[in-house]
Amino acid sequence: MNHPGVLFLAPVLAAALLLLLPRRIAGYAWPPVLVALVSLFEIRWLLGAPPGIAWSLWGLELRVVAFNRWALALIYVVLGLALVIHGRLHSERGLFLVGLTVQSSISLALLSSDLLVQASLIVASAIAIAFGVSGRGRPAGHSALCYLAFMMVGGGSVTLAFPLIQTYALAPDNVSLVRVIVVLVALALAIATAAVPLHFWLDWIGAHGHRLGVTIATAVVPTSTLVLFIALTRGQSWLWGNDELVTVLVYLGLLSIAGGALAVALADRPGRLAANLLVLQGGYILLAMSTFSESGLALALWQTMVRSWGALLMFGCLAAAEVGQGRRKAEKRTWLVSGASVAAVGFGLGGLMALGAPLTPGFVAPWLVRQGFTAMVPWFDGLALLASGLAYLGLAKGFYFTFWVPLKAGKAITLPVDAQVLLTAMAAAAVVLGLFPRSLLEPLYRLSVAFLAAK
Amino acid sequence: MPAIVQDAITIAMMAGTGSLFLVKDPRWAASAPFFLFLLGGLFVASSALPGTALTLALTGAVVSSILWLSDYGLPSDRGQRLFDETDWGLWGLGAVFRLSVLLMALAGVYGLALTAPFVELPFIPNALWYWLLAIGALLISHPRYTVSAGVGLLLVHLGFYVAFSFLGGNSSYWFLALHSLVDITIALAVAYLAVPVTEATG
Repeated sequence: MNHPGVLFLAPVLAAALLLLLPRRIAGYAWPPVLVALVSLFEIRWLLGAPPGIAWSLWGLELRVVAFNRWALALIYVVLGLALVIHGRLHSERGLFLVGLTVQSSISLALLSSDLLVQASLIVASAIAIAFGVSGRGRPAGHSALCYLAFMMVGGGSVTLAFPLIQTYALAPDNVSLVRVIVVLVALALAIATAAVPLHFWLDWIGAHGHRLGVTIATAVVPTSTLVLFIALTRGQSWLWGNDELVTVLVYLGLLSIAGGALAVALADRPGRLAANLLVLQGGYILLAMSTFSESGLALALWQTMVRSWGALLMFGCLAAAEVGQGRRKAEKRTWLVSGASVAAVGFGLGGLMALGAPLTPGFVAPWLVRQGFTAMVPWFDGLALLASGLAYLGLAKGFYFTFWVPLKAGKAITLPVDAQVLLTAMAAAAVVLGLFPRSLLEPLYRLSVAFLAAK
Repeated sequence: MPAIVQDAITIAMMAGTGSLFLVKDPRWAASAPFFLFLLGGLFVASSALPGTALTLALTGAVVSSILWLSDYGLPSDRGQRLFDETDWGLWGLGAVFRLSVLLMALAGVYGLALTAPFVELPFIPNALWYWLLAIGALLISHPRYTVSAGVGLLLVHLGFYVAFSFLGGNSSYWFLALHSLVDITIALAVAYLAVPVTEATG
């Protein structure tokens, strides 16, 4: 039980158990309980694991360090909550199998010391996520295919960067080689974070894909790719803070803020609106990362966490509204509040977080990034203001047509009580984090300082 | 490996991948990965780990079996397929026109490999890599069947592996195993997507 291989094996065993169960049992409430237990066990194991010790799993070196511990904990929390909520709403056994497979492969990926193996496992996880995205409709299938194509290119480009980095170590004067490496590494990060103009996969799966698949895709692949990017660039002193890499990341970040906001304003369906809000938010991750400093690193990690939480809230509430409206029973008021209120407030809060509204956790990174970039890019304030204005308009329009009009027309949303409780708790956590951001930002800053000082 | 063998494998792979855009029968698309992976394995054998050719051939066999099953294992009248399987776009313009598109792509790849080689890749692997990317992109963006889109994804992945091997990537058996796992997972995902679906339920 002291070996980190349990993080890989526990979800596999849970998936096997789920497959062996008769369908009538597996369709009821206890698969979410099983997933919640696995996630809790893994988080508990991670928090108690001694850092820095190397373990071997079939010849592969595994190591728990502060960085991958943070990323894995975030992924376990988001995956666990997403599976429980969507599992309660959709009652499909396949969703749990997808989630547990991703949980297993991403654990091995982030614990592995071999970055090439890490990259391959992230691609494998992305392909597993495509099963969750595809849903049961034709447009959803097309969007899953598009997602697969983007992930293949991203994974392939980062894989090619490895031999080139080894070549550069032998010929350090080769400038064109550095340029190719910068393009490959930036391409992989841009695809994973859905930076404009490589954001179409997120736009399409947001519009047509299964809500659970989209949530996992926006939390797992970007987080793990960011960790891989940091480890890869930090390991090479000539690549960490490279001028050309900084320039590419800044332009991609600015394009994502402008393009994401425009796409939010023009969005024709709520899923697309939510997806493009995440594109906008991804722009600030790239800008924060482009500073290659302790504070920039801490802000990139913070924004990644907030983005995952926003995706969880927005797509969870959208799924609740869509599934809950289709139920035959009249709305039952529970001891909490109505299902409609929970879904509407959760979606609105998630949207406000994503566009960086004050007093939400999403405000912190844009505000601090703005302070750093105004001197460097004089028109940054204007761009940020314009983007926020467009995004507010788009969010208001989406909220009006998705929640306000159906509620005024008397359409009720019926939700299981446990799903309501979870969505409310997640919204409350977002509010608390928005009011007291230092409680998590300071540990992330200390983590970044320690990480950069260690090399 | 003698240069003539390498040239022969390259020509066979280029002709084989090109034929995917000429032949309309989905059985051809489903069978292609076995032959292409076998040839790809032989092509990279001299610069990769021992056993790579055998691993890739076995992976190709598994992938082709999965794609064959997805073509014939399911009745087609239970819903709508992912693609219409009709002669749309370039597919409707006749074999001669499609052949001319392929020849233009070949000329483009040849010119690109001569004038803009990827870092320090030798000419033949470089041209093959560019060709696999080009045909893969063409099949993904312009599929007639779900299977051909999946084969396009597999060709892109194989192309990256060819370039990785000839750039001297220090690969391990873990990486080789994961490369095969990714190929097999792509085939499974494509087979899943090939299941006829009912409209507007996603």
